[in-house]
Amino acid sequence: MSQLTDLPGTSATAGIAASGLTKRFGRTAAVSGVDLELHGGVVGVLGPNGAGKTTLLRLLATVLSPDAGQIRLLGRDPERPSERLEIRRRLGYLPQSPELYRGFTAFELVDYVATLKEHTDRRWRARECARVLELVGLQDRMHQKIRTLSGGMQQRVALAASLIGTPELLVLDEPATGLDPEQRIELRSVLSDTARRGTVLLSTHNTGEVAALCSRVLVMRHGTVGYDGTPAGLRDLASGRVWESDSPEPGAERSWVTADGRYRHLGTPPAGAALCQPTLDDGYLLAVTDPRRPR
Amino acid sequence: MSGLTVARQAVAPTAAAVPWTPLLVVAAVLVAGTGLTSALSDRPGPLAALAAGALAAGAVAALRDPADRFLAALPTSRLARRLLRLALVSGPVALALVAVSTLSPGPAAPWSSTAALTLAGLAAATWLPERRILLAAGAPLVWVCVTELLDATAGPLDWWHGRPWLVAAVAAALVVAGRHR
Repeated sequence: MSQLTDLPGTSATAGIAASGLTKRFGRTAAVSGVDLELHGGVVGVLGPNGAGKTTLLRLLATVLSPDAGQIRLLGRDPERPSERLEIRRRLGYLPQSPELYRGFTAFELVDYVATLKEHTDRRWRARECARVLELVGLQDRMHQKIRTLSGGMQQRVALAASLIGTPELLVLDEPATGLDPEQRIELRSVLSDTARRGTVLLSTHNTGEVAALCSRVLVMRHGTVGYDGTPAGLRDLASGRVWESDSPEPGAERSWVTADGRYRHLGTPPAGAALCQPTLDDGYLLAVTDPRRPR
Repeated sequence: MSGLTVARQAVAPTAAAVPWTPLLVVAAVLVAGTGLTSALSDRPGPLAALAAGALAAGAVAALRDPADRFLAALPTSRLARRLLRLALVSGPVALALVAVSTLSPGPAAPWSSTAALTLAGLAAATWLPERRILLAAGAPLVWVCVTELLDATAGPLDWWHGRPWLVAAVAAALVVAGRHR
């Protein structure tokens, strides 16, 4: 708990601190007793569907209130209305698969978001909207109606809106959804740049994204953080626990067929097994493997 | 001051984002129905009450915002955005009320009742999940219809008509209590 009060609230130390964070929906604990302390950089949140990633991000974006536990964002308490307002002025949030006003142009939508973010200087706003739309590569499409843009472009419009005002805390729920490989690389560059001035928290199903972009990764499982560390550390969880063979291994915790038709296994290798170099996917699969679940 | 400037600058894009169709359809049907009824009969029937309920429902339906999740973490709250929407739709609602009152052979559709029912719908929208906004919009109309069907002329069921300011005050208190939801 001491970390919560220790987290400074200045822009130089933008961050997230949470202790015992819990959110329930009915009887289901979507997030349960999560402790976190993030100081800058890009932090990835991995986890299977239903693990609590989106709920955690909504809690950390001030959209949901926790049922138990405490949060401090940018050194402020989001449960206090005046402090929540100050956090929101310095926060960018991109929800999962956001619905946009399809009759707006990209520029109009981003401008509307900037207005609601209390940027009332019209000239500044116009420059800022152009800047963020250029950042996401939509400078030539900014006056096109959103309904005429592809899914990936619409995702980039939403991302541009979350970048308005260069937020110190950026919370992105699956921002790469619908983006092609070239756009994903551009997204990485935008997020790395933003992380120089603050904290970027993003959820993803793509371990490649995490390896390329994140200095730290959280793996969620059943509403709790199952792993918290570096991507290399996550990969190393599987060190000495990955092997390949030509036939299934009933004793393995997980097995699947690779592209070349061989079986790849995770778990405790049998004597004489052909061990492989682990990948981030292997480490992730081990981190989310529930030992109680029969395979 | 900043809030007012934001509201002023947000008027045009908010107006563009409002789903006007439900309200305009309701208003058109009411005006046409009232005109037809007054041409065929000089009995007022429940038109004034239905107009108040239907226009309140149309106004609350205009709060449906597909981008609500997208805008959820902005400094301008959901309640502020909704109040701006209600302010925008109040013009067409007032015009429709005037038209219905002018055409109706009976008593005019009460403004205070329409306002109370709209606030009751806003209170329901505040406490229901965002995706249930159309349920909240239906609440004022259901309330009026139940009152008419049961022919209730006294008691809480009739308060939207008999004590609209009490209904408005309770609804406003519920809205304020749920303003951070």
